[in-house]
Amino acid sequence: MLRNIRLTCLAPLLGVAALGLLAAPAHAAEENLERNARGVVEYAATTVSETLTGERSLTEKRTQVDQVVREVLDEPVLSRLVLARNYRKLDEGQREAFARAFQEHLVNTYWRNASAGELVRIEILEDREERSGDWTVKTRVVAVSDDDIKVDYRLRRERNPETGENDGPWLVIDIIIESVSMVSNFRSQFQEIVGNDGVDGLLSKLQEKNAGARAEREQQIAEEEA
Amino acid sequence: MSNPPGATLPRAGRGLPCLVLTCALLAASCAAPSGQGEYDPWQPLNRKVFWFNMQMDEYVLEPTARGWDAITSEGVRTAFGNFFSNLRFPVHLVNNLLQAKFGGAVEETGRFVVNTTIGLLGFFDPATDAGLEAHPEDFGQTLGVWGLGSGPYVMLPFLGPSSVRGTVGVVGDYLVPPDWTNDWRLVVPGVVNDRAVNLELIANAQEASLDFYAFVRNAYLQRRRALVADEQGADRSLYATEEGEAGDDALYDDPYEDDLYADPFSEDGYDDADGSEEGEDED
Repeated sequence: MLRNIRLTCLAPLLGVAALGLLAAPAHAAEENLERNARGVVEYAATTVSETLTGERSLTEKRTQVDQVVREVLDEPVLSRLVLARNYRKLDEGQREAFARAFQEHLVNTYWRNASAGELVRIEILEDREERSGDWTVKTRVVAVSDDDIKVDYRLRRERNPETGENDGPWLVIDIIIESVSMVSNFRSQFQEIVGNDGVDGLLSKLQEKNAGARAEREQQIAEEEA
Repeated sequence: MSNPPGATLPRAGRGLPCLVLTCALLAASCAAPSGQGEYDPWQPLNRKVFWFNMQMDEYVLEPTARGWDAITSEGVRTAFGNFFSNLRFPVHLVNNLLQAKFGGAVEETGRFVVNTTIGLLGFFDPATDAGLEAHPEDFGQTLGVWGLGSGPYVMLPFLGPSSVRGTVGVVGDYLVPPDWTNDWRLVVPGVVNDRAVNLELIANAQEASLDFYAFVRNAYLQRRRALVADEQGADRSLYATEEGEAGDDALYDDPYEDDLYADPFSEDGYDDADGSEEGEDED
């Protein structure tokens, strides 16, 4: 039973910690164009681990990591994927508000987990093309005193708004941690929330979370300065 | 925490009622749609049980775990974690055999022998260092490997997320001798230790989620699906569904045509699959 609880309940949660270890390229756009999906993840992994293990202040590290996460995630695609059929219930303004708030939430979540564990290294295991043309890069996160965590990244080339072709740089559209897809997980949550409280309920829940995180962050900065 | 301590029918007497129960539940499980989306027809009740579990966690389990965390070092907690895992050996062995995973059965046996002796009653884990991998199969997985669908999602009091199949699995694992695999004096400390090991993780997960019930349900279902697929030796797709269809590729399709998550029990279905052009070219 114990093992049962562990595997079924804790493993996915473990995975959430690994969210924090997603990585991203420092000088994004141009270089990404030259990189294949694996290259993006490889470079990203290096950059975040170097930032985290570096000698800078916590605030500086956070700024760096946040920036990198924002650069590597394909926010418009993510918004659509996690909202799925609810996406069309949002008007223009709500879509923008959602994209902004959701990105902020992901960045906060990422940081909370990245700064929690003590990262040793990220190994890139293999990569493969999916039927749809997306690319999956499998990695293993090795941290001090924890079991290794399997983290897969799903990438898709960014869509060019003018031509409608997916020929831009490779960007991350999902993170699959110990077999648990983040997109699927958020989609399930948002489906429930929109079903119960509507789109406005979802937006206000997200903004509430973000406000809490902002307060936490300000406190962190204040503590560091003191 | 795992089983009511009072349930001490003589071993032979337990079999029949359980068999009947099993058959009934399996019938329900086979009739249910599986593999697609999240089948949670008992959500109102499940949410109540979840609320209860969260209260138990907040007021009993987590404070106890924090206490344990405060008086132990990480090494001690890891050692206890090893010890409690080692106790699950009989269950793992039986289920490896039931799944005809003889290599797994041999490795599990090797682990138990090595860890119980050289590993000082299982507090240390020299087996892993020696390259003996764990194969922690349970009866829920066995049923999945045998081809049974998971059936509706079930939130069990104290035990957490499960399914009809998983619930039958819990009963099946409970029947595995010897009795110490179910002794609450060993199970409860194991749960507390586990909670202590994962304090920060769970706090972060709660922080990251907007509907923790849905978070847990989705994570549980995805995870179990993957475990069963693994046991079938399948690496068809990283996103294999239970049936091994291309289902999860659909996760990334255009969300306007998203059938995968059209849950059958939701009132507000979406009216038309492709009628609305609006916003189609948003990004």
